[in-house]
Amino acid sequence: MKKFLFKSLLIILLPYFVYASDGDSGKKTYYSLKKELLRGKAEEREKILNLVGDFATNNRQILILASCKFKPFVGNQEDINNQLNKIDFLENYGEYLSQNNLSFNEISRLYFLDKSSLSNECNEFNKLPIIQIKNNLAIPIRKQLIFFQRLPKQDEKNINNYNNNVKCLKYQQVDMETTHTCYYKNMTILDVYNAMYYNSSYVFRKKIKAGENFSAFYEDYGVDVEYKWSGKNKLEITQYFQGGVTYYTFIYQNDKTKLIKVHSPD
Amino acid sequence: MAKVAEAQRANSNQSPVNANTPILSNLSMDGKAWFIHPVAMIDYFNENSPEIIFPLKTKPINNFDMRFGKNFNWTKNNNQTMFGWNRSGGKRKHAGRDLYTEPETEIVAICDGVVLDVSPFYCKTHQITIKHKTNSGRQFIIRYGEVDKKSIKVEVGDVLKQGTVLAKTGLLLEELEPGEKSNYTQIIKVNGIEQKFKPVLVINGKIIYMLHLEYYSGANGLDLKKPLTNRSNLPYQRRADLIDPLELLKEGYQSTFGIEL
Repeated sequence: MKKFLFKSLLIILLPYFVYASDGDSGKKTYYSLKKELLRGKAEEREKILNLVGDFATNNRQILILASCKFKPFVGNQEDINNQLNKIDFLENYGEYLSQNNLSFNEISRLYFLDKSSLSNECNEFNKLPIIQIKNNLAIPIRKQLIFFQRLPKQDEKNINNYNNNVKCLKYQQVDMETTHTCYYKNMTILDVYNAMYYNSSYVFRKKIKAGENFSAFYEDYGVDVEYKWSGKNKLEITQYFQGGVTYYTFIYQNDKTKLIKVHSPD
Repeated sequence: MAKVAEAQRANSNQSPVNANTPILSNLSMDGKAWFIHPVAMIDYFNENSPEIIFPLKTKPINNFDMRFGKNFNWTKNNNQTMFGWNRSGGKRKHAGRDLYTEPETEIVAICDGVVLDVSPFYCKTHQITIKHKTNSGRQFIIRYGEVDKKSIKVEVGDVLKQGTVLAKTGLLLEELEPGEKSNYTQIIKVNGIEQKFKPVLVINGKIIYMLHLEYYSGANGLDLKKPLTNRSNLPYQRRADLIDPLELLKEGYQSTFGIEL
């Protein structure tokens, strides 16, 4: 009887969970662009941001940066030095290292563009070394040394869990509005939020604390944002764009966070 | 006509200056050369161009006579494309008219004007705001919303003639959830990184590109000192001089397509 009930329950529930993560158990590491270190006028900084992106991923030694694939350079320390000498690294970029309390000797690895990534957009990185130095990646490009910093371990764990511990219901569309509901197992509201924080599409620009309401206007997107907590287990974020409203509702219950996302265009 | 024919016969015995050019276009009936003054011609065309043209070069696909039928007909007041239809479950109302199109259809200026703003609108689309002035002196502001960002051809301050191509119709996009797959996946770059998105609006398996058009009378100013989006002004959350663009669009439709709605 128990077996029958269990099977029936499965048959009932199956259509509602339409997709879940593919369960990639690989532990990826993540890097975030240190925008505050970019030099030059706003226009030049914007160009660099569009070129290198604001986020990089390393998965089993394959580095993905600006949607281009990079592989580790195979060689000893002398080989690495030779590669860097080709671009007069110390002369051209040495000051950047010292300003960030880094030294040439701390360079541990180089990455070069994988040949499979030789698209027009990736060509800018052709033969350019991506330098692993402690917890940073450094890229000598456009007469600057651009830094990416590895994320704190908790944030990396959150992003991995966000991608792997998720089950979503089939999305619903009523008139112009779409609603997505996903469940994130073993994640708190802050865990889920902090994972989404690094995806600039969500426009979650503030690191938050539980229970602290917040509002702001982000001029570049023309968006008003409101964060409203109801106790510590429910957070509603409303983003009033010029041409529509997006609602996020986070509810923590039974060791998982339910996230309801509604897009409501004008 | 007899005089024209007579003039043609009279000239037919002479060898033409340019054998490739028809004789009547070189000479008037009295045999003198034609002269067209360029400034006079500009005035001529201005006086004869319509007050308003339709903002699209082709008819919207949610027209009364097209595939979307009555459910999404932009000329009617009974569906989600209309001005005033509920949004967010009735918390606010639709501030414009939605014209659905085939992908990336060209959007044009409905009359002469000056570009006041080009900026993000919603779900990866942009908006272009123009202060317009018609031949007869009518002035107002139009916000061309949900346009494709990468196709925008105008900048703030540009002075435009009627019919200038502004951009192409855009596609509202939302992020794919982790692990989610979509038949309509679109990859675009955000801050230099390729990300996967899917269209917000798919009707009967068709991805909807659109122009969302808002009309401001100018009673609150023919500039943007008072912003067009105003959250506190319910139910439209827009400036107080917002009005339904239906009559304006109908006027333009008749000019562009020769059909009275």
